[in-house]
Amino acid sequence: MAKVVLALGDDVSAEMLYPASGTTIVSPLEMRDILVAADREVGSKLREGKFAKGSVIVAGENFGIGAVSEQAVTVLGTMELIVVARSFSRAFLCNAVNVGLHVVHVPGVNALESQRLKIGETTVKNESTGESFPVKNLPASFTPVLEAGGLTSYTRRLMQARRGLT
Amino acid sequence: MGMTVVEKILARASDRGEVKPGDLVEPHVDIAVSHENAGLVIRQFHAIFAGTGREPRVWDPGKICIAFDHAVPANSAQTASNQSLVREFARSQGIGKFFDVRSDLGGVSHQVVAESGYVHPGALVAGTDSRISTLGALGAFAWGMGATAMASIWALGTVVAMEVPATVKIVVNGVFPLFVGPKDLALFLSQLGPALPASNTVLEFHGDIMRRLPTSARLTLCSMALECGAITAVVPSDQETVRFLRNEASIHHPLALIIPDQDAGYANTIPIDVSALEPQVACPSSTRNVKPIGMVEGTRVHQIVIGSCTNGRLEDLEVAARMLRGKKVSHGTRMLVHPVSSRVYRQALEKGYIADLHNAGAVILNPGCGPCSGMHQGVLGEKETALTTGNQNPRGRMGDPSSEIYLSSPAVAAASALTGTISDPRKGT
Repeated sequence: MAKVVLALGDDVSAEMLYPASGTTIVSPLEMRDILVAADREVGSKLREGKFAKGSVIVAGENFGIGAVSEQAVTVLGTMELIVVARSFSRAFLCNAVNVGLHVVHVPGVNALESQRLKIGETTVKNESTGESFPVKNLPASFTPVLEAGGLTSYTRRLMQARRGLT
Repeated sequence: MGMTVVEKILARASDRGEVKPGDLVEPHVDIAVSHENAGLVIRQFHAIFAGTGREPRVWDPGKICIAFDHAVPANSAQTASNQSLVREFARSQGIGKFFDVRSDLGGVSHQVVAESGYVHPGALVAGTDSRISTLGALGAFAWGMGATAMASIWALGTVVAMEVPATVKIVVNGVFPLFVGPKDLALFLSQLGPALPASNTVLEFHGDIMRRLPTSARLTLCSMALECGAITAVVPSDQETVRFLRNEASIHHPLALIIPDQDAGYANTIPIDVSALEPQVACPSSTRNVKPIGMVEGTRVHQIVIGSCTNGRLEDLEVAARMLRGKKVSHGTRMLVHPVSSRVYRQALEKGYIADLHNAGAVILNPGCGPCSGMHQGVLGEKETALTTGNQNPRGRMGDPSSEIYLSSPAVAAASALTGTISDPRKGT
């Protein structure tokens, strides 16, 4: 059972999650310092990170719209959070799969902060309200990278296979 | 079934006769573009090679371009160190398409790539900046990605497990009214998101007006594809594309125009008539919050910014210079101008636009992303409001979390600079 630590609305911009002013940062620890810098309440809550691993951020439509940078995904991933959203921007989804952030696409999800979710393969159940919502599978194109545990290891494997042939 | 522009590009780059939306392909990349976030790409690139016993080498140093643009010159010790790391990597890997901090070359990475002739119709362009979609204006498939995906391309030269996107056809007809142009259309389209069938979607621009638009306007339009909920946008190449690439990008080799097949399959077709379009303003703090100017006229602004990869080109500076020539920026309002590239800066100097803007009271910044990325050169203070010609306005992007950003065309920005409030350029000042 996973607790919802943050419930967000529609069109949460990737820029809002991680501002462009952090473009030159390469250390995930330093990235964390400016996560959601624009919203003091949400930002400080996330940065303090006083919640159990596997806690959930619930969001509406188009989560992560407007930017392709992966730093937000990287930081949420290192915090071992799960993002359950009604829909994701393509770039956020790609970055999540590449970097290893657990994302769950649940078109009808409805949950508030502090409620508890049971995240299954095919359904997500809000244990606090009793409602269940079907999970939409991630696109099949992501399967090889997911199975390899992320794009870095998948690329390493491909590189070795390709160079081994020459 | 015929193919759209992007399907043709992906088929060619994947050595396949044809592809359709949903197909899995592993296309070869023609050029991979980064800026300061190459620092993070380098970190991920080294991670790929960790434990393999192989020396980290990029697949083809001639196909990688890195242009510093976010913080030029460096805004902090951290950025300076990051730029040093990237500089050394470019040197050691033999990356010649590298644009450092200097006055005679460089600018915002997408613009530099366009001006340098690194992109041609049909090219597959990968970039680590969200605005790489700008290059779709040249008939290329240019889309953005995170650092790990770029590191994978640096190692392999191909994109792994890419799903061919669907294409939505946008047919733009009519005539732009006076003081209404491509930026207003881009802002208007940024409310399209819910009309798109899926997030893995490309916008392909058609219509009479597209054929008449110069490349500079097409670049503006394509720069905001992400705001529309698409992964990128493309303008089918034509004689205007050839003119730009021959005259302004010094490409002399033969160019093949890539146009969609007559029977290409589109997920959706959206007709738009711009004849009645009014100047548009994206209000705080989302590009989904776009209003006709009448609804926000009179809003006080502390800072006006004209520049960026969306609206920092010569035509944009010309509009502003004409409107401000012989006049003064309103006291109590700061005006900042940052040309998109060194070449544009030089051209604007030669044409007198820079002098016009300077004399009116605008602060001229060096080419680059300027204050748009919120790192330096005009950061906003508490509860301040900016009106900019940039492309994004989430809360706090340009400074204090309580500051607010409005987005508009250069004409609206220039008119507003004269009054200190959001003003309609059609009304004169």
